[in-house]
Amino acid sequence: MKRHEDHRYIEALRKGDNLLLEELYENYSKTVTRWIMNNSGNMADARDIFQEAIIAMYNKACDPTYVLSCPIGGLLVQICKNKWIDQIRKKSKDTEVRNIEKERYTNEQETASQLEIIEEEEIRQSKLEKAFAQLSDLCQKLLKLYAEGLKAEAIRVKMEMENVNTLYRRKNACTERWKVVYEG
Amino acid sequence: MENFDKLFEDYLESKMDGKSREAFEARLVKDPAFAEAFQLHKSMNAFLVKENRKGALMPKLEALGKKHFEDEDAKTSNPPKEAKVVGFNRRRLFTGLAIAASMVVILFALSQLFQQPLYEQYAFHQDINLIEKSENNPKAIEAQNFFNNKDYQNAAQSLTEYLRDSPNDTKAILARGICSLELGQLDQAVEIFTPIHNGRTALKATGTWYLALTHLKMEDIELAKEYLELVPEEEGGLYKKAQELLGKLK
Repeated sequence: MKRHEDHRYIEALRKGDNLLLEELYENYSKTVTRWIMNNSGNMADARDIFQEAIIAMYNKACDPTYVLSCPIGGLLVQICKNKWIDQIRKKSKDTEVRNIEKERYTNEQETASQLEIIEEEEIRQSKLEKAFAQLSDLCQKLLKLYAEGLKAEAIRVKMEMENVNTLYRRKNACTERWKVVYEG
Repeated sequence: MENFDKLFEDYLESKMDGKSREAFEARLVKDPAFAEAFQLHKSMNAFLVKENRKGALMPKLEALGKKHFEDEDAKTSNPPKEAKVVGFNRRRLFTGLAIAASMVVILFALSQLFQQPLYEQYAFHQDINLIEKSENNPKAIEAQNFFNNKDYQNAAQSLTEYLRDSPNDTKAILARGICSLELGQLDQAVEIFTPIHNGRTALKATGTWYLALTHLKMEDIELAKEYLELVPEEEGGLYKKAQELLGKLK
């Protein structure tokens, strides 16, 4: 997959680069606001939808192997549109839904493909979140500590476990349990 | 499902030689179950990274949302409707954040966010247990709950009240200091941690560690290093952590 120059925004999301994150708001908030206000929404709707879209991008940006292969603007705006269409579907009349549904698709093939990747990831993250909430406090804490990149010994001390082997066994058991609940 | 975790980690951490890497990537193309398991593995990692960082990201997004959308609100002739509840699976997250996101917290987060990655990497506070000493003390229960839920604003208040009756509870004093540290009241944090660092309680080294963290947050790196060097070797995990941080500061 060819890396688009806008991939720098994905790197920025990964690293927490405030300036580039703000640039996304600067460049695209008005487009999204105009479109949502033209489609039965208001400013607060636009703000919430835009935030949800940034989080959807962030979900995927946390995967270090993810590569953005299309312009970020078109993708971000399309994510916002699809999210708003989903909300309209829940509360509006059929005719309004039919009119707005045609906005769900983009002719840009690469953008469509990236959109699919991001929307799939959002569904996975939602399922993972629900499954994670069902794990014990110990499992949740242990897995988060691993994700911080701490060394096993440091985690063992924090978790007050007897030895590193116990820690490994516990980590594997927690991961397996998480997968089982996720796939449940 | 077969467990490929070790293999996946080796690939993601670039621990494979060229040939193994090629074989791995070829298998991703040919074996859908393998590819699916790899995708889930990456998503689980991403979820955990996100969980650890969400406290930093959300206040930033809230602030940007206010700046870039509410300014527009003022220009529109239609009065804005109430901001609706944001969706679905994130409802819980946003509700928590809405409570936390007073302007003070946002400004604090903005000033700290991403500027002190080292501090954030090391500022993980163990849960406290105040009720093992004061089983039926409602203030102890309240303070413990606030602190362990990382609600440092309320924890600070409850701990102050609890300490009026139990002024010698060092764990509570330490926790009160951590609240000050997290709330950016750094001079106050130094005042609280210094007697623990100078004292002879079991928390002496922890007090030293927290003084180091406070100075790290103040960006007084030299003093942070001095305190880190004072964490004694017999402290085991805390010593290793101090040495590791010291290494990063040098």
